[in-house]
Amino acid sequence: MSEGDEEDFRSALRRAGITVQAERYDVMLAAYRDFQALMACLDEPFAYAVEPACTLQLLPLVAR
Amino acid sequence: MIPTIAEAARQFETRALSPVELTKACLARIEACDGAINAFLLRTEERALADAKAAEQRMMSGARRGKLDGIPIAHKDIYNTAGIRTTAHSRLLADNVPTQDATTVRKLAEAGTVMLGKLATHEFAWGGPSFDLPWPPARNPWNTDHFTGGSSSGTGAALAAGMILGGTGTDTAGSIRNPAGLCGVVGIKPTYGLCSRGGILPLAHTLDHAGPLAWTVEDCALLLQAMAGYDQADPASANRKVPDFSAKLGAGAQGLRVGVVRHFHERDVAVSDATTRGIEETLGLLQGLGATIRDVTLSPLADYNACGYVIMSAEAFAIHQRWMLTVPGQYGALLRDRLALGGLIGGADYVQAQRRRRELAAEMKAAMEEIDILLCACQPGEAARIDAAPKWSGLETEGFTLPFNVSGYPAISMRAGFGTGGLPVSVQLAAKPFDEATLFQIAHALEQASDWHNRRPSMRRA
Repeated sequence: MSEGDEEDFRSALRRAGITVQAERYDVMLAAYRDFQALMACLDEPFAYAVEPACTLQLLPLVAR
Repeated sequence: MIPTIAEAARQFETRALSPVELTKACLARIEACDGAINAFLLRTEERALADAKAAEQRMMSGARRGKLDGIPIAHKDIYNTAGIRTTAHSRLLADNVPTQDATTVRKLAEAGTVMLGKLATHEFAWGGPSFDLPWPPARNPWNTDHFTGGSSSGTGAALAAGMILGGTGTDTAGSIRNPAGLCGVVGIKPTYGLCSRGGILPLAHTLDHAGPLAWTVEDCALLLQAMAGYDQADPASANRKVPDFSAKLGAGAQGLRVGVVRHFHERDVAVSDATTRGIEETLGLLQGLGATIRDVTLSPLADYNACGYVIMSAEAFAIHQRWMLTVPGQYGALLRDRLALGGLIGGADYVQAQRRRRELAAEMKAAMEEIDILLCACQPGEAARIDAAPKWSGLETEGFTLPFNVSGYPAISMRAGFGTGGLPVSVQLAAKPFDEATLFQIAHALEQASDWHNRRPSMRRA
């Protein structure tokens, strides 16, 4: 991971208005990096039609 | 020995047991055991005895309300209880006394249940096990050095220790099924929208579910029957008729089509030998009962985990933002760190997670079209030591339970044997939306075909 990640982390903290205590900084930075890796799963390109509306598809499978 | 709900109901019927006797037995058990377990944040003895006496009077006058009348239960402490402290296991709500019951608390009370008190949770259903809160975390009755799973930790622990006959939980990423699995009880996360979340403190609105935990499948069906139903107070509540969840208990598993998601535990996340054995033994039982088994492939668990964890973290921060920015020191360190991470998620990331969620839900719908039940692991193995429980949960390993929060499908966790440490291992079964009756049918058949539910913890410390 690069220094750029750390700058992103600091920017995100500023944007959110969150203060991280000095003794928690390294732990939180490591977690932030893990989180970015986790979110890489979501980076795939979506077709325009893939929208977040009607996310759950619960009704058609079982008749009332 | 504390009976199951169904056993107690039968004993009430024949006058072999009274609600007051049973309630006093539960209170005595709590007094004897809870010093080591910490399942209760608040005991409501006076209320319990009053509830029990009222149930007994109804029984004597022929006005019994049903099988739950006179049954002692307790509520996870994020369920609002009118006039009774509701803390979310947090310093921030240490003095919070709601004026109204949560809808499900009211419905269970109307069914005649006896309220024994309020149960430990992870802080706001996410931060735990934590040792820097006003109350200690619940411990696993199978070995009190071990974790209960969470966040319905007090409910799982109190049931396993025989202090209550049933209890409530909530499940945003597995918080009913994980403590049920790790404490060796049964827990069901119903279909999204089946049980009202009205009056329950939220963690993540689009993933939160309410549901029951109990010692047996039948008991869960009885509790869910009282809890389910449309409620205007919950914007996600499904306005549909509630079926009889016990209707197919005893119908066996003959002809049911079961799909096994093997890659979850064989490729995606490593599980213990005991868990693998439990899954295989469960499949063997199902085949013996006449179910047909086939393999099913879904997206990797990592995809469900990323999608669900991002949504949960972002929504949780949105709910807690005001306090996180003004009084962050009031939270325990674990929840504060987890919430802070949620605050760093960008809007585009959240939307991408919801778009991916739609694809995953469609995938699960397609996978379920030619089967009745999905079976997969519930936990990687036995409960970890309480001082070694994972700090970041979904960041460290993918959970087996989250796929059904992401999709909204109903899922139940139940025993599948015991590990080398003597603690329970579990499996998870899922059904089509609003088909809880089939889920209870197959889980009940499995439970009756095994004897894992006949083993109770000896309450030892390692």
